[in-house]
Amino acid sequence: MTFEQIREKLGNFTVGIAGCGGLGSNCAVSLARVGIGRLVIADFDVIEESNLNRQYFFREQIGKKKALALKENIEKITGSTRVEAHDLKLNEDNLPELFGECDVVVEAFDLAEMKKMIAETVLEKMPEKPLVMGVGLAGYGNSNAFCVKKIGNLHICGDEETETSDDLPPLGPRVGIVSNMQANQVMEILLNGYK
Amino acid sequence: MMRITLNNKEEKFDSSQMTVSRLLEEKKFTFPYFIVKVNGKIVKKEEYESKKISDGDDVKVIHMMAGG
Repeated sequence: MTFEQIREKLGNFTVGIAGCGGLGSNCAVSLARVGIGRLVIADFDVIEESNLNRQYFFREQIGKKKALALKENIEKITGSTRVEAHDLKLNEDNLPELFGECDVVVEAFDLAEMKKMIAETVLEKMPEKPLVMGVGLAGYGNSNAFCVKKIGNLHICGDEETETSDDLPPLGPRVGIVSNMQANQVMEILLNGYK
Repeated sequence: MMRITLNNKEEKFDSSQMTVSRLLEEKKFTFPYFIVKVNGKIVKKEEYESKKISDGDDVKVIHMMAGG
């Protein structure tokens, strides 16, 4: 497929992004660059200086709401992706409402308990919906550890090993790899015959 | 005795049935957050004590790690 054909096809799809931090901001930007028709993004958080080591924001955006700032940044890159930004905390009740119409949902949380919450909610309430998760991305190096595991409609990107801590921080390169593996997986799901 | 598939590997147990809780304990799944699927269906925490696993079942225990 040529890029024009890819862009035309992706233009028909909507992707939900749960979280606009390291995984969500980079994944959303990648998907917008290749021509996804519509993004539904959600986060309750505010941009801090410490986020700039990995998240797709700028210094002058410190203090702004992540979901709204990400919409702004995407619209600076492309005018062909419609972005619906929600400044709210996702939970098991509002998730199906917000992402019910999306063709694929991307999990882009930092907390393990939130990752568990979205996986259980999607598998229980929207079992037909593909969910692309990012699990295991802390520290630096060891790029060979990354892979994609598919379990039914669950697609898990990451090393499934490293957990963030003070001594194993989340950093631009590895978070960037996993967020783009997620974007790449979304493309594969949408372009290879799904729907 | 029963044989199940646990994370794509065959496992043998002496008993013919066990709860999800018992399995997690026996296999020492220690991460604080994980999701459990039995034969493709999600099993939530409140069902771990009651959900029985028996011969031939396909069980997945997927760890959730912080970071994003």
